[in-house]
Amino acid sequence: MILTRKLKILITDDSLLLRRKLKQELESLDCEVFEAKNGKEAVMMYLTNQPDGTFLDIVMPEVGGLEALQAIRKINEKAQVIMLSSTGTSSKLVETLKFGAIDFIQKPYTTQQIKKTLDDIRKKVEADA
Amino acid sequence: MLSQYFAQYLLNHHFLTAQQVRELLDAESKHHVKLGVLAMSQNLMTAEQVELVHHLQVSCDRLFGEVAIDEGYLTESQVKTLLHAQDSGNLNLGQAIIDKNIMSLAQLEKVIQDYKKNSNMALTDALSLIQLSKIDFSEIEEVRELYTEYTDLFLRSVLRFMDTAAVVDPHAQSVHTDKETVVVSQRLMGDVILTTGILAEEAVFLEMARRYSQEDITEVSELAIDSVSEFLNVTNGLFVVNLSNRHLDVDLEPQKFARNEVPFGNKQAIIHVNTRFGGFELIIAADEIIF
Repeated sequence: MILTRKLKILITDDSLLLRRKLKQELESLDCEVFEAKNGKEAVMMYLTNQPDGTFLDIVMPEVGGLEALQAIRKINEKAQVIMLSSTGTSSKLVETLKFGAIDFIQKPYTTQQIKKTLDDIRKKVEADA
Repeated sequence: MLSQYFAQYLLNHHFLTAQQVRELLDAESKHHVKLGVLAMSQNLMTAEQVELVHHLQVSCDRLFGEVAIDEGYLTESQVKTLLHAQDSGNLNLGQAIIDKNIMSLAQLEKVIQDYKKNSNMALTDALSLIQLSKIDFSEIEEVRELYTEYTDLFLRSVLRFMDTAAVVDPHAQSVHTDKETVVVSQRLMGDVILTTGILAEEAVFLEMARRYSQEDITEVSELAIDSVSEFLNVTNGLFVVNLSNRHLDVDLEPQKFARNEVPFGNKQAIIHVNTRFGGFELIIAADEIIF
């Protein structure tokens, strides 16, 4: 089924700059965007807004991205979570995929990476509808 | 980029002062490299031959390449290659040095030749010279290689994300303490433990924030601090990836910041970095930086 509404995307990053830039990018790609600045807020926002996709930073104060990823996957085992981090090592990639992330993007991201990720999320949402 | 390492070499060996480097980096993009300087840098012509072609050009309305071919200094194929290289902007720093009368063609020729023999050592030499300042690099011999590798990546990161060449000033003597300053830092934890930071006067800090974020930032706000912190985070992330390629597993911790503090760390090196928009301190310590 073709999705007629906007994709709902949650951005989680302690960086105000990252949130601002990514929000602009996602809104220009016709998404509805929610923001959280740490893992704890991300879990709360996820429960409240049920986003189609979630971008999660790994290194954040209080609750980090990996803990938030596990909590979100407990809420919804089909949650589409993309890790967005500056530390794109192979061990980190394996670790996040093991915890259920669908992709890993190393900062600084490119517009193409974001577009491709949104396409993947959209296809999954449409397939599940 | 040739200019960055060449400028580093010139600074290390006192051919230029820090102020001259800053002015030249600023002027670099405005100077169009001329074929003669380019031919000299590629050892196709001597300074004397370039001078002679310039002299001949005065008496006839002809291009440098045409005269050099007629005189037998260059082939048509070499001129084509040089014209192509001319577009790449390499060696603009050399051209700026000539245009500003800092050196003669002959002096520049000799310096370029010496630099080419030692170009890969420019940064290592600069960091070795830092022992002349209040931080003694000889006391941290075991981490020298790691610090050098990090500094090299950091300078390339400044070029990539802030659109300016950056060089280490090995002759700078002290951290600025008489003006309002901001410091951001981040610790790398794992098989390697390291903390890196940036200390800058407010004006320079704001320019770094503006350049990285491409936002109109006018005060040291959350966005300004966040922008420089994120620059540091991205740079450290690239360093962590490099380490992981050598099977060293390292994680990053959240960044910290403070105002008007001089940080203190174990085996700490304070490395003065010069850019076209001003200087700042890159700080590297073998453990946590305290402020």
